Amino acid sequence: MKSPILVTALACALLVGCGSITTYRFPLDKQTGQISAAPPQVFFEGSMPTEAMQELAMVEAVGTGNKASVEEVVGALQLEASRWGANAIVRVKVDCGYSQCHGWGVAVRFVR
Amino acid sequence: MNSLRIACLASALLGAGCSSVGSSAVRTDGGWTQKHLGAVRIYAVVPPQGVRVIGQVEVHAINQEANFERLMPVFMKRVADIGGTGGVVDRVHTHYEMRIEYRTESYAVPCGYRSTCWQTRIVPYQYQVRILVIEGRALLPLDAPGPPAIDTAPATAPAPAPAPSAPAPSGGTPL
Repeated sequence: MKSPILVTALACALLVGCGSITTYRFPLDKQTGQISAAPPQVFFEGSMPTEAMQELAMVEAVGTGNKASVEEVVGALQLEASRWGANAIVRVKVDCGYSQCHGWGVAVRFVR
Repeated sequence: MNSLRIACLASALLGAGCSSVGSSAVRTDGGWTQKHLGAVRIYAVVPPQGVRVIGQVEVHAINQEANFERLMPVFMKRVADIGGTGGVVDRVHTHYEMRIEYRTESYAVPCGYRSTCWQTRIVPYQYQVRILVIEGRALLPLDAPGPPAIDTAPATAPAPAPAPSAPAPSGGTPL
């Protein structure tokens, strides 16, 4: 009985150990403590929303191993931006190398 | 190169560590480089109205230090170093480089009856480096006092007549 649990635990540890994602942030305004109700919209570099916006923070994510994908990195950016109460992340850019992806963006809140 | 590595290793052992963070700040408006001692505001999307560009700032780092939390305080410091009260982030660029380092390793070989000999060899070790570069401009409000004029005329020479309608030097490019 013990061995299947051990094998499962080992497999889980191996899967977890195959990649990681680290997020960083740099505040551009005071943190309000609000959390976004919905995932923030993503605007890749080159496109910009038409609404007036307030800059909240520069957010950054570095994914390695099996987390080194645009999908994972953008997901991490969205998670971080939602902690700042952002409606959107603008100027999003992801650069990938061998087994590593780096992405960044600016978390913003639309001003109505 | 080897001595640099040894120096890095020695300082790392001492607890100081070698930082990969580098930066440059250039005042481009021809004014004096006078440090700003107050706070610096950073803009990443829309720069404010009524400011002028006084210089260019660049910061970079590799691998573990290549992140905003490490680099943005340096960016702000460099903006302040050239007298800016605000900075705008124009470009954040990540690129990857493959580097080769030659390492000496020891290995065991059987030699003679029940004895092992140790030999060394130099092997190439290839690794990837992530480089993060943040570029931007240093800003100063349009109504901020301009850079002091550089007095190059000799003390005894008569002062030239001022041009009647010459505009005062703005000391920077309006944004």
